[in-house]
Amino acid sequence: MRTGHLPARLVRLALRAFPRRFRERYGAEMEAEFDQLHARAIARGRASAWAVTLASCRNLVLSGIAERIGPARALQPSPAPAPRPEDSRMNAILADLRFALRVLRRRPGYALVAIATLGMGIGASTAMFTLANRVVFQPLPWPESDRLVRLYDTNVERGFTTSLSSPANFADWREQQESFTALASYNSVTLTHTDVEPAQSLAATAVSAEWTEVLRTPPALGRAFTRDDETFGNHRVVILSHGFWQRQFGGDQGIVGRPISIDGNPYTVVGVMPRGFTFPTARTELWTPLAYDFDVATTRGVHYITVIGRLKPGVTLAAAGAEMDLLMQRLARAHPEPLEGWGVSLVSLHEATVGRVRDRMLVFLGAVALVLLVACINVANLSMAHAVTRSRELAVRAAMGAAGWRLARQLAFEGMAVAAVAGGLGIAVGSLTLRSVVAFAPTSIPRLDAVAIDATALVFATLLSLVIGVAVGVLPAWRASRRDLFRTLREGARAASAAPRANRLRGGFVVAQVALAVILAAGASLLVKSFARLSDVDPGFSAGRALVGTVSVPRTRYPDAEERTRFFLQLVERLERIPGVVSAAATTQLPLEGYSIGFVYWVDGSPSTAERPSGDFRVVTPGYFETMGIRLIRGRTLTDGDGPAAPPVIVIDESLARAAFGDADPIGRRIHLGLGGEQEVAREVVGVVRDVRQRALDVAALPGYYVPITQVPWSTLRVIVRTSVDPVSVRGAFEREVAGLDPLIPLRDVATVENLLSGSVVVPRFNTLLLGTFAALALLLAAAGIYSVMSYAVTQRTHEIGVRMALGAGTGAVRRTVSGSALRLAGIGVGVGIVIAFAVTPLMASLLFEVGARDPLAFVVPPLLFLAVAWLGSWLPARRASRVDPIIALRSE
Amino acid sequence: MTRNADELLPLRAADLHILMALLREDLHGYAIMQQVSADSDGQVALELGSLYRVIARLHDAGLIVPVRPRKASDDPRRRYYRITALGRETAAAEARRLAGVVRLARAQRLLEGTV
Repeated sequence: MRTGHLPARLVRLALRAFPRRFRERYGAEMEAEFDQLHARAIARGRASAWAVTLASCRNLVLSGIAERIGPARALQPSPAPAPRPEDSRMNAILADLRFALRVLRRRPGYALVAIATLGMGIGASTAMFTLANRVVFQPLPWPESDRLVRLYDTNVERGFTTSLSSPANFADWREQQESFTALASYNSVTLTHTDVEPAQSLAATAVSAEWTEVLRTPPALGRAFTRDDETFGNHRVVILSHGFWQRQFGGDQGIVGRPISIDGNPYTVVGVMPRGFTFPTARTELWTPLAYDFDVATTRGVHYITVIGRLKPGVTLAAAGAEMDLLMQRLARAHPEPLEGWGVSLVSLHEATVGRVRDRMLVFLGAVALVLLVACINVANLSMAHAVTRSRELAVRAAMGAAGWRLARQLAFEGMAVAAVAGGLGIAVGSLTLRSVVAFAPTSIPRLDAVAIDATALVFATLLSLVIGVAVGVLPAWRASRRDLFRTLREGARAASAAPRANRLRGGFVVAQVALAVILAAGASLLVKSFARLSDVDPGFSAGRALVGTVSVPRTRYPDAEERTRFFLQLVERLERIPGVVSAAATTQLPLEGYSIGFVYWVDGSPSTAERPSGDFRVVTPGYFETMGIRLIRGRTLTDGDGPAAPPVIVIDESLARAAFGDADPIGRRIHLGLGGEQEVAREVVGVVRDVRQRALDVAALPGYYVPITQVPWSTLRVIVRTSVDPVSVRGAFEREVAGLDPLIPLRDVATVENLLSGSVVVPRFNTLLLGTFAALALLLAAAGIYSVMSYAVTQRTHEIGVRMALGAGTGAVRRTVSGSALRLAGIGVGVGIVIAFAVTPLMASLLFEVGARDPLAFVVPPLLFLAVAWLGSWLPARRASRVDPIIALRSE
Repeated sequence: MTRNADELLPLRAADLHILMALLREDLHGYAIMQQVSADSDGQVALELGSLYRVIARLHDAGLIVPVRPRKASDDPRRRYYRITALGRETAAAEARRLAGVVRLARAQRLLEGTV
């Protein structure tokens, strides 16, 4: 019971509300009594037990706070005994604090609005700070990770700045370099665990021998990989992730040396990585040696592995870069043809991991800071108005001898009390916000797993609340201490607020709020427009309702390419017989999945010195175009007749037709693909299809081409079934058909095409949603600010309005005066906001699609919106002003 | 305790109810809650935190004292409370005071129609 169940833990937590001495006396006993209470309640049902728990916790917290504030222990109703001298300062502070709480309790409206406003601001800031801290600022999770470097292949002429590397180059680098303690290459793969029924696909990474040295993390159990493991034939060894080891083998200490069946082949477990270790992402569950079943030297021109390294102590990034440049030049002299134009560039691994999202995170962080600022201004405004209405009370206390600093301290306490509660609320709001942001966030943002409000975030929120508390509390305190006591007493609250300086300050608040909100709204409207543009893009295909999944036919068990091809053709045929399936097809990769395979192409007969551009490569089964709804422009699509023995054929898209043949008819012309060896034969163009946005909606398509799987065999394909029913409903049948052909082959990465399409808009939608929310929040707060300032001004000017109406001013004129001054302030704010927005929106250029960072929309709509909001915000106060009865107004003093 | 019971009057309702609950026998916290609730027909519902604030108050004033568990089977964390002589006196004084109030109310015909 003592450490056990949740209710007991909650109660123990709630008990902390009591002072420590009280807890020492009664804590254990109260816990025991609660256990009793809870045990009885359980007999009446779980709901009742929870009701008792929650009621007890609530009561404990309230009583605890009461016990801290008012030592209610004195049974005597007589006044508290005179404080002992050493206690008097503490008692005075406590008295001030108690008084502050009482003031707030007496004005719950003020306290609630201030707490809610600040709580929202602190919450949003804490969430975004945590996100940015986790994603951008925290170091990578490996020891001395600042020494880690990512190596990219580059080809300036062809515009590649961050290409993957070739295995042949990596092999040479590894032998010849002197700047790194170790270099490693890796490649993410999907393996199938075939010890279990049904076979289970696992995210795995094939790594070169020194990867654990580069990451400076040896396995917790067993051994690391060696160069020997990289030799094809010795490569059937695996290292397990801690999670997979726990889940699959129950954390068996004797796992090292045990067999495990992968893709139907016997592998041996040689090690287990430490708990919490992730590489390259948290999804990876297995590591195998990166071994090649072909001569690595032939891969010089193929870029498909990732290379990282650990700098030797004392070697700078620049020095390593210079060495790698020299090394690459040497290699290029030895292998001029495939390495023509290629170089290598080094970037710190941290930069390579988070560089892409840093801009976005900073924009969000900036945006949330603006929201917080607007919230703070609102509260400062409120607390000033609050202080002004109390100026007479403060003046009386000062007149009776209260020290100025004592009054200031008490006002500061009020601010702190509000900020402290708001801080607590903010942490709760932040936690919720963070959870929903993470749920919405695109998977392309790195390191989002396990992000939560942590100690750093708590410190951040606490400091933030503290600073805000002092700011919103001390500001009015400072003003209060400067007030002319005599005048205040004589003239009352009106004099204090009607002072020109006070009005100017409040006017300044409105201007600042509107300006800040306009900046946010400008940014948000740019994103909204960009998002609308993106949604209008025609992807070039229309698959309608369809389900996709990946199928790998392992070369080890299907060594013959024709067998593998037959597997896919049979699968497609069987899938088309499922009721509800309209058609089925397979391809190397689907559009909008964010990656593509490129091979160079050249027109038959062109000189070998001519430039050979890269094209988007796809192997497809004959029904692909029909299944994906890709329109044929001329010629024909692929058919069953385009078999291995038939003449080689190719279907190209419009861009490629234009790029290769201009306006001439491409049908019947011949194209070569840089696939190597026999596969470089001339292929006859038989058809032209529409361009498809292959990589992402916001990336124009590379020229693309399609070849039949019967002529270019492939072993891992995305299989699509187009359905007339809900695509999810055929998933079971889909899986059964794959297993029916080979129970050891799983269907993996299943998704609907609709998901795929929306996946491409996830990032912009996320950006738009987040910034839009911030802007809406700022708008709301600014509107509230305008309203409160204007209605306050009207209240303060009731007397003056009364005089003017008595002198004959009409209701319209009064209304116009009030609205006019609101609009004037908002107008200044809008002007300032636009100027600043114009300066800062270019910072978000990388987030925009086909919209300029200074699109006029962003500088027209928000200003109009804010003027409208200002008018609305002043409308109610203006109406109230116009209904002032001159007699009452004049008598109100 | 050298205090006089009269100095402590008037008592709060919860204080008086707890003292009266302890008149018959020593009780631990949970039993006090049950007893007070039963005695007052549910009118006085003490929750855990409030109960112990009152207990601390009564203990400090010397009206009740804690005693260790009576049976070996009792949870060692729990304590029973016993009313002191001063406690009895104080409860009696408060009851007398209330009786006076009731008499007065009767005399003013405030309680007509009730028993």
